[in-house]
Amino acid sequence: MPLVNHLKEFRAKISVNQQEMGQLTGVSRQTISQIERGDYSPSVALALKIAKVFGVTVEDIFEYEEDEV
Amino acid sequence: MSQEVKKTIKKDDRKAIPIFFVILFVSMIAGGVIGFCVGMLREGIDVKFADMLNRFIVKALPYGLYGVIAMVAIVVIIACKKSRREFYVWDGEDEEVLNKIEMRLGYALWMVSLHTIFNFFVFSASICTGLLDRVHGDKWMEMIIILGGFILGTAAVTIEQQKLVNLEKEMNPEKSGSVYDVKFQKKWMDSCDEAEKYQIYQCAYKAYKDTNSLCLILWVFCTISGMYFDFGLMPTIIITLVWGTMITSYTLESIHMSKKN
Repeated sequence: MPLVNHLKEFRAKISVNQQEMGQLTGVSRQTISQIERGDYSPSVALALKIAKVFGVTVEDIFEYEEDEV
Repeated sequence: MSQEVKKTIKKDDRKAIPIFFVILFVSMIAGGVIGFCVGMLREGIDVKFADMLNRFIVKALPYGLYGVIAMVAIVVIIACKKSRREFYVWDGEDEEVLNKIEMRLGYALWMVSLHTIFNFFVFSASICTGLLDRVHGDKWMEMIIILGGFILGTAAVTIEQQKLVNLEKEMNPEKSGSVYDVKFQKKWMDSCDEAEKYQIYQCAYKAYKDTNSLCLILWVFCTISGMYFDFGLMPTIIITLVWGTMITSYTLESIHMSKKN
């Protein structure tokens, strides 16, 4: 998947676990876990909510890497 | 449609068609050979196998039912107790612990679902093999054993599902819905977030694909076995109904969603 995320690092900075992160963003612990593992790409709305929790932009947390042709 | 797109479509078809015809040809030959062999077997052998199978099912099923009830209950009790204990001592950091618990509960729920289907199967098999017709002499006991097993099994799976779902709700407080509510599936789905819904859709599509393949295999089995076991047209009709309903439901919903978008 070409989406790279730094969600775990940002989460560690503010010392919240996945369950607390889920509560802050209105999703389940499993969703946060899947996003961190790269198994799921969040919707625009969810990505914006996550960025708002950390007070950063979406691009700070999620990077899009083009697949090599 | 551009010429390039049309060329790509034709190229994909040209690549796949030879293999498609080879599979079709091999399937025809295999079907013909198997059908011929079954026909020959039917001429030469007494149909004792079907009788033996029938008698085994009739004798073993009622007792097997109670064994399955006990086994599934034990598994669910252990799964719930262990999961609850691990959840309440969880330090809130180690995600592997929760992942293990979720997996354990998932397998337990799978066993309960299979038990439900088995329960229905045993009841139907009892009726079809005439077990429940024997209402005279000492055969009352058999009828009580089977009916009692069915009722006990139904109660057991309902309670087991309730325990598992309630534990999920303890671990994930955002989830809602009671298994006793007729709208449980809708309420549970509404309480799922985007990733959970996406996962459900992926699983549903896999189930659709697998059932599609299974219907084809069952159709082949019923067509060939019908010559040997002589069980009439009913199995083929049922497979056709299930297959047709599945395809129609999927396609119509797909059309409906295209219109909405």
